[in-house]
Amino acid sequence: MTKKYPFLVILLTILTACTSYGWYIRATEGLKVTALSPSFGTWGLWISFYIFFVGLSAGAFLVSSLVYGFGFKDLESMGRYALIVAILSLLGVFLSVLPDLGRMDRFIYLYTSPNFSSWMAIEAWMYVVYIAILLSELYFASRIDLVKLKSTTAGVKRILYRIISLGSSDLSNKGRLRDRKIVRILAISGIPVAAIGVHGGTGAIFGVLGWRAMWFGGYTPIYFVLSAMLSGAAFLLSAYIITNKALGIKVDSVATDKLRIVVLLLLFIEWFFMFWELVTSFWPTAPKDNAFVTSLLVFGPYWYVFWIIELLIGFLIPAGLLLYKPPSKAPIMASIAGLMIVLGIIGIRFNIVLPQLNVLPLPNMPLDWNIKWSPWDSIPGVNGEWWPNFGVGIPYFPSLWEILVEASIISLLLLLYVLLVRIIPLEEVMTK
Amino acid sequence: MNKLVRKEEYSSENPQHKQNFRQTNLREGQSRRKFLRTAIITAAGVAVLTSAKKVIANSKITDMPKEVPANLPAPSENESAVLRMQRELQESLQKPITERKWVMVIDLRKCVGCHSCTVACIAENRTPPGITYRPVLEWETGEYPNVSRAFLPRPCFHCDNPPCVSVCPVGATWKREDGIVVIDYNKCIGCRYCVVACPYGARATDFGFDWEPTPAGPMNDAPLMNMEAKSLVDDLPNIEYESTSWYNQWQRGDLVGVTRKCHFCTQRIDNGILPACVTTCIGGATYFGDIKNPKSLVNELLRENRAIRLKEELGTEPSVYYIVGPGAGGTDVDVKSIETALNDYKQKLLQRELQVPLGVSLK
Repeated sequence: MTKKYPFLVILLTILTACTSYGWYIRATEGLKVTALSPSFGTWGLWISFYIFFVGLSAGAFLVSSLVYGFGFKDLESMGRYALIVAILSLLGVFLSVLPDLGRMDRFIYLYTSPNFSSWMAIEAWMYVVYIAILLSELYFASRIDLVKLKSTTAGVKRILYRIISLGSSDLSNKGRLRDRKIVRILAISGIPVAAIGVHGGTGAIFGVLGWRAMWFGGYTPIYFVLSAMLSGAAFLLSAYIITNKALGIKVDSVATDKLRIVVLLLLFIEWFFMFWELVTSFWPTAPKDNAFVTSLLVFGPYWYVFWIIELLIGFLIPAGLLLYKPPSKAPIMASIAGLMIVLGIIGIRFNIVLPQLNVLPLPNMPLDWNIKWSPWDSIPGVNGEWWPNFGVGIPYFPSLWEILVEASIISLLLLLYVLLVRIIPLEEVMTK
Repeated sequence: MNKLVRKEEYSSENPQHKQNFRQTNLREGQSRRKFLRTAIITAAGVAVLTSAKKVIANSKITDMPKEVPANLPAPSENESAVLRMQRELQESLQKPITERKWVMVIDLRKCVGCHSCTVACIAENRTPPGITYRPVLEWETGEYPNVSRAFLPRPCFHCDNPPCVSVCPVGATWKREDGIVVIDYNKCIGCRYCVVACPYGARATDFGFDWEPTPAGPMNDAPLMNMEAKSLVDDLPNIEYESTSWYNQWQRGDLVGVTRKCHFCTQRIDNGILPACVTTCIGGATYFGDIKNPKSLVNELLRENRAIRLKEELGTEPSVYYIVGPGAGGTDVDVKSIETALNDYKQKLLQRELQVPLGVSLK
């Protein structure tokens, strides 16, 4: 791995740099380069990924709280992975929501003049509290090892560890116990912040809108947190196995097998919720918009997101793979299953945001003005000529620039992950 | 300016080209005169715009007269509704702002679906493509042979319990004391949460599209707006309404990225003039006034007619009322017909019969 590592870093750097062209176009041309519309289908790829990343972050954090808050010893080797994933996902949250703002330069207004009757403002503040908890938890969870590394390394690394250990040099047992206590308090106090504030609150952004039948209600935040936990656990399973295999660290098979049970349990609960949501929407006296949105996502132009991405890739195949063999026997298969579940959750996020936006408030509203300046236009037929299964009848398909921006965010997060797992000690450092 | 197309370029076989041939011949005969005319019109347009730019740039909204010179004729029994509303508007402006509440009453029996309110609104507020403060929604009602068309002009409803205000994360939108829901364009971050929250679709975000200048060419020789004129228009301040901040005039670029909506032409009513859609309504279907004035025309209409508000069940308490019922020549729009039309749309979308999907441009 050490030979391939620089290549991986260079590859991800180049990928990030190339896809960042999307940011340039977005910044100079504004929202008109998106396939979003000024009035109805006004949220799209970026907002879907925004709620996905919030979920991934909250989910990973909740798994880490099992370790640090409730002392699940079996999962202990995954604790720091979970925190790193949670921190990086939160960066993804900010980066995904930023290009979606019509005025990116006014992002700071969320902090300088917030309106706390809006869940979006509550969220923005909760993220600050949350990131403070995450960073300090990661610091105290790995402080001892950072101090050890400071004394065992040399050169640039030594300076780096001196900075991130914040000048601490306490290696005593008393200090270790104090760290544990602090981490425990942070892990438990972070649960309400993550579950109610960060991700339940993101659900509430949608859940408080009374006229949006499929969004409205207390079910939405609960469902958000549930699928957050699933995405966090599933992603962690893959990230842990893949990272350890790549870095040559021993995969803790007890931890992966325990996490497999958590993932499977959450997967079945998730689909239990999904099943009842779909079924109740179709009953004759359900609100009309519920039936409309549900049929849109099950039988309408979004059918492939539901049947292929959510059900097949996100549920049936990974459930089968994980039931078939435990990760200790087939680690690569388990990590693939984890990534498939994550892909399924991305599909679920799309289907939360997009179909509901097809409910027109009043009949025959004037059609919108968008994809006016999109590179898709230069490819013949993409806008509904010979791509009818995707094009015609689908009210939104992201533009190239939207995809590039999101791709740059994802590749940047991967790059940072690759760098961080080499810097932050993932397992206890043994000193002679 | 006028590029003439040579005859040789066209084949006389093609019927389309034959048509073009005739036009080209016509054009050649009149080209000099037309060229001069176009040149004069364009030059005059540029001159007017330049002077307008200077005038507007030098004046602040606050400098505008608070009252329109009161040379309205004395009230008479058969005076027009517009005159009466104009007078009542100016009377109400004498009261403190908390003692007036603006409402709009739209008589659907009288609406003929001419869309002139939409056009007047676009001209007054200079809204770009993608943003229409007051569209007129149209659909067919009934089944053949008993069919008719329904027209529903839809401004912002200025709800008393506005869903858009409470969701704004930065407090950039609020309800004024006289009932108008406004947006501070200097504060809006363009997150579009209010757009999603509005149950009437009254809000839209300015993505920065502009009316393209018409290229001068053989088929289109009288440009609606040439590049120079367009840049002048873009530089003009947008006097939509007075914001509470120190900076109350916006250039075109300042509005790109923020959410915009109908504000009952606040820049007009604060200065004693009726909203553009009211004065321009050909059928006299749109009424505007102060509902706190018991003698006002809007109160009289609401008292004497059957009026509805849309989506009452949401508890938004809109300030826009529709007078419904079978009228002389008008259409019978009611809640049922709106629902039927919406269901029709849903069916079409589900069965993928919508030929123009919402996400594709109307180039």
